[in-house]
Amino acid sequence: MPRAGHPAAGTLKVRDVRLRFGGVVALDGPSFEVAPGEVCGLIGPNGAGKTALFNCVSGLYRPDSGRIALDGVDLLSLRADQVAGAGVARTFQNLGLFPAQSVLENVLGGAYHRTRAGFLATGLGLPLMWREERRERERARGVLDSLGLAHLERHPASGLPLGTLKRVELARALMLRPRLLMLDEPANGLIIEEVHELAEVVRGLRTGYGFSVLLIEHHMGMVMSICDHLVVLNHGQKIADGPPDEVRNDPAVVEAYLGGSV
Amino acid sequence: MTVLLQQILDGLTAGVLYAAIALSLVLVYRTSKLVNFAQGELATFGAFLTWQFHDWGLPLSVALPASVAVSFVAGALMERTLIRPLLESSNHLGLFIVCLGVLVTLLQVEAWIWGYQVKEMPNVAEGPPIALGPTMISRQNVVIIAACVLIAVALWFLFQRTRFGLAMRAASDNTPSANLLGLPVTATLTFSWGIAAVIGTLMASLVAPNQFLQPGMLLPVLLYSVAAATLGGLDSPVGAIVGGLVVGVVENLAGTYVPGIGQDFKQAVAFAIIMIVLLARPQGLFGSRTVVRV
Amino acid sequence: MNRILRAVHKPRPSLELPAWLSLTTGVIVLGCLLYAPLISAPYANTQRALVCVYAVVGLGLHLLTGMTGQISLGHGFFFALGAYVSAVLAGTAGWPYLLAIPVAAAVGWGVGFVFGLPALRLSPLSLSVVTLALALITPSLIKRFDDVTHGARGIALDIAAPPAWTGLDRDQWVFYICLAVTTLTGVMCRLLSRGRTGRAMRGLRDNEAVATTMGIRPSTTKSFVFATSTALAAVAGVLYTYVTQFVAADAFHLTLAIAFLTMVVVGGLGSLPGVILGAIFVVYMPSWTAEINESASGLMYGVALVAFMFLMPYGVAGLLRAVGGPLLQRREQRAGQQE
Repeated sequence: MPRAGHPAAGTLKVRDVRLRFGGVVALDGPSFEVAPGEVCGLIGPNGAGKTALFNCVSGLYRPDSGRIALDGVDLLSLRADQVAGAGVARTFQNLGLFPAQSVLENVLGGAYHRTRAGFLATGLGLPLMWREERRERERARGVLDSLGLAHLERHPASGLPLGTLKRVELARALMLRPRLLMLDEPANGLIIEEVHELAEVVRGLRTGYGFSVLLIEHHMGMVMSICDHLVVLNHGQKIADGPPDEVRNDPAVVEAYLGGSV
Repeated sequence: MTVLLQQILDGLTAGVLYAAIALSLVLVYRTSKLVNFAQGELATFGAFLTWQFHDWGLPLSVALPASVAVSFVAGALMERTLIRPLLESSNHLGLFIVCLGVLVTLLQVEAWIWGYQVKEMPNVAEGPPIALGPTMISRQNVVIIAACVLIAVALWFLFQRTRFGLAMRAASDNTPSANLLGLPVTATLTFSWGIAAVIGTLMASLVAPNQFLQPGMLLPVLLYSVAAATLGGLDSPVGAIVGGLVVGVVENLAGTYVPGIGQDFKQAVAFAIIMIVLLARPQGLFGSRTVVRV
Repeated sequence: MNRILRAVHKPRPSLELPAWLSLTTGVIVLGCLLYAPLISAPYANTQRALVCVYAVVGLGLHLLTGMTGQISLGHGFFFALGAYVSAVLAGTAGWPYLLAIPVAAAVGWGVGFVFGLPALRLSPLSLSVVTLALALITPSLIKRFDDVTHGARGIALDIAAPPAWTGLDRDQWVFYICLAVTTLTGVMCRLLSRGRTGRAMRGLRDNEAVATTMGIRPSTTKSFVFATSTALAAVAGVLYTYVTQFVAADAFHLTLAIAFLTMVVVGGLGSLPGVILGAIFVVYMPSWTAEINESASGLMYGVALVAFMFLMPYGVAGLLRAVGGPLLQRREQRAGQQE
């Protein structure tokens, strides 16, 4: 059930995306769709092009050809900084937090595109800036609270356990009020209890906030427990696409994972 | 016509110096990925050493090698003590600040020890200028050009024909895999800083008779050399030489023939070259394009 | 010793002093600053005014280098720009001298924005090269426009005379103007470096790709920061003419750019109070070392740049944070237990 004031979950359509770095083909035309409200797992061996695909959706990489659209909005026609406004939020494989800043400041970073006070309004201390600041602080505290991080808001982001930092990054992504949330290996480096906890959190958030999730993950336990749908990449190509149980037994997937292609 | 030819020749002679300092900038950039703004001042310091050794009564043929040897050690030491730790923590802002700090420190140490009185540096080659067709070139300038050619050939040999050069090239391309191949990467870093300092001292000592030896002698040259290295491509030794000569000629011709520029304002030409190259072709004429990955 | 070094080498968030403490400190410091000029020698007031001049430049550099992580050695150029705007408008053309401040701010902002548009697209390395080049050509640029700037001969001024009703001397009046501008600038920079814009700047500094995915447009933000910092440098240039009553090309050598950089490094990159400490260092250190040798002050700049990068990369402010942070935490914990 989507919360009031929150946009509905989005549909991501990826069509035939191709990306090369010099002579290396990173993405070789995968196409798939993430349906509204579903958790779609993007899996595959290392170097399969999963993060490259995330970067294409985020606008950090420009694919050579193909289409990426969220609810009909062509993401490839946007600048990287406009993608957030189109409803995409993401986390990073190696954490994209700002270590010297407090947890609250990090999370508030996610409010950027929802606020308008620029250099003039901020530099002169106009009421607009104070109003927005108060509103977003309140919202950030709410998000932190819902993730059980409220007591850490003034702690610097450095020096916290990895599991906590991953949740801080998640909180920041939630501040963007995304219609599509992209998580890049959220379970990486977590101990088994934390993985279960995280799976629980993501599931809960999805029902609470109502967004679609695209998830890169190697931890098969987590993938199987929360994904409604799996897309498998290998060497930049899609080799399987379907419900988790089906994909798990797909011979092409088994081969890719067991090293038949090495 | 004669004036034009003379201007071009003068430009080339000046360009040789820019090329030499640009070469040392490139050497350092290839291995350490930074522009050592202190390079020119290190060279000036070396020239002061040559002067000092000579002033103590040593003949130039002893004084020059002695100061060159000291510079090698100084350059290598700078890399080992100041640069390496920051490079390892990839603190780029820190590296930039430290290079500037070294520049200022050297400048002030020179001023402290030797003062701002211009020092008389003897020429290596005395005698009347040589006529080249309708143009004239001083014997000292012939020596300077010869020295630069020698440096270029020696570097080419070092890079292309020795195992050390292989390690150096490997270090500039990809440090981790070079380490895996068992090439002495860390040694080459230190070595290239030493060589860069040697080039600087040699050239600065040779141009000192023409350039007024005083603290900050090569600060204007630093600007032209940075322009030269940028134009040629920061990681290309060939580019540094071509860039240096081009900048020397362009600067000289612009100063003489373009109205409104004049001799004082020639520096703006270097600035314009830097700006235009960085915007239009950041990798320079001969440099390699770096792929930025997120 | 090692423990201390490690403590100072860590980036830390700024101290959040209790409100009563910052308020009382602020009131006391302001009170002293307002009263001191009345009982000090003109020379002392001139030096304090210079601290303000440097601090205004430093506040701009704090935004640019400390907050946004962009390097510039070219701010000496914009400082000179402001100084000549003041010298020409208030000196030669006879405009009211206070008008030079907004004009210089606007000119500095505009020129900085236009310069920054291409320059900020460059890599940090290239930006440092371009701005170093700008610093190196500034004196010859000034000499090139000799008919306006009078080149190396310079322009002698007679501006910023105190209004009769104040009964102040010029040095006192100028100090008050400088103090007022610095305070206003400080408040503005504090606002900018906190809220939304501050987060954008720090985001770009710490991780540009991540910041972009949050909706921050790097080119625009950097251009605005750069232009704001050059506007402040230009304003400082105006104040400089009030203090020295003279401008000439040779005041704007590379040394000036180095002094600016030293100020930010010594005070502490990314710390606003650090800027003031850095400005104090840069203004007073030469007068302390002048007796040793005339090169000693320049040498101190150079040594300070290197030494601080190794020993205290976050400057004096970083040291204060390393010492003060744990103290504050302990105090808070005690307060928490009492509740």
